Amino acid sequence: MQDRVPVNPGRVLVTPENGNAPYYATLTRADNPTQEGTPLNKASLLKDATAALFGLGTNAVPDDALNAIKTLINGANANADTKAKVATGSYTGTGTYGASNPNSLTFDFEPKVVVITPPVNKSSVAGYSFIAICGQTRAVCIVGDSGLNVNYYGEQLTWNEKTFSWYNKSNAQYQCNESGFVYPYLALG
Amino acid sequence: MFLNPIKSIDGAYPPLQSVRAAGLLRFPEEFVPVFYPTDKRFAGFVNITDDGETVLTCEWNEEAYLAYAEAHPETEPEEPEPETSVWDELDLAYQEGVDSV
Repeated sequence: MQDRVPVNPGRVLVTPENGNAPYYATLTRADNPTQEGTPLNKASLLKDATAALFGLGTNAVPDDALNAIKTLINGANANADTKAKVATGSYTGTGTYGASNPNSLTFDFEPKVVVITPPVNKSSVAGYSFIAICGQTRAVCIVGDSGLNVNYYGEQLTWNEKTFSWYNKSNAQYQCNESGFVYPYLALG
Repeated sequence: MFLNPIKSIDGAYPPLQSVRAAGLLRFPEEFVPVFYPTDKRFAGFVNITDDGETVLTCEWNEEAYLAYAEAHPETEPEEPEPETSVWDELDLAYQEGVDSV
């Protein structure tokens, strides 16, 4: 970017519309500013050193720098999209179950694996949890009890982009949706 | 808390989740007791209004709740299994063997 370097600062050529001869004049701002403000020049818009940070030369203009920034953002986003994403949280069960009342979790990314863990506020030793893998339509809900017994119950899964939903046709326990219980979850995408 | 605004055909919303995501509605804390009433067997049977980002009003839908509750009567609690472990059973079998000699 280059600053203007005048030989006659403020001089303008006035050409009257009535056909009279053109003449030179000097414009001077006379608005008595309470604040001078930031001047619009190379120092405030795009210094050479800043342009160099983007690999731009001394003739680059601010638009070139904005274009370079956008290219960098696109590259960073593309790179971030290839990284694994993790979401952790919890939901509180409602007690409903079955195909007409599936549970669902929505994420800011397409989950590849979702893990539902046993409720944190349940005093019973029995735990209900399952691991779901993207693309699979069934998962196994694992239930352990105090007698070292482990039982398995089927979960029906649906993967719809960023929303994962599931149900169990038998009851809310097996659906991991007992009313009032808080189920932590983990999602990887 | 955040709500998936898609209701089930029975009139219940899925459980509230703790983490925000696009497409979910912010669910103000003041409505949580309405969504999860302590005196009901099931939660999520509510009618809401929203502005596309946040739930503005939330009222319990007793009619939908009763219809679902009647279709899903409370079952008698199952007889709990005796809390004996595999080790207890092995111990018992061993004792029986000793007693039979």
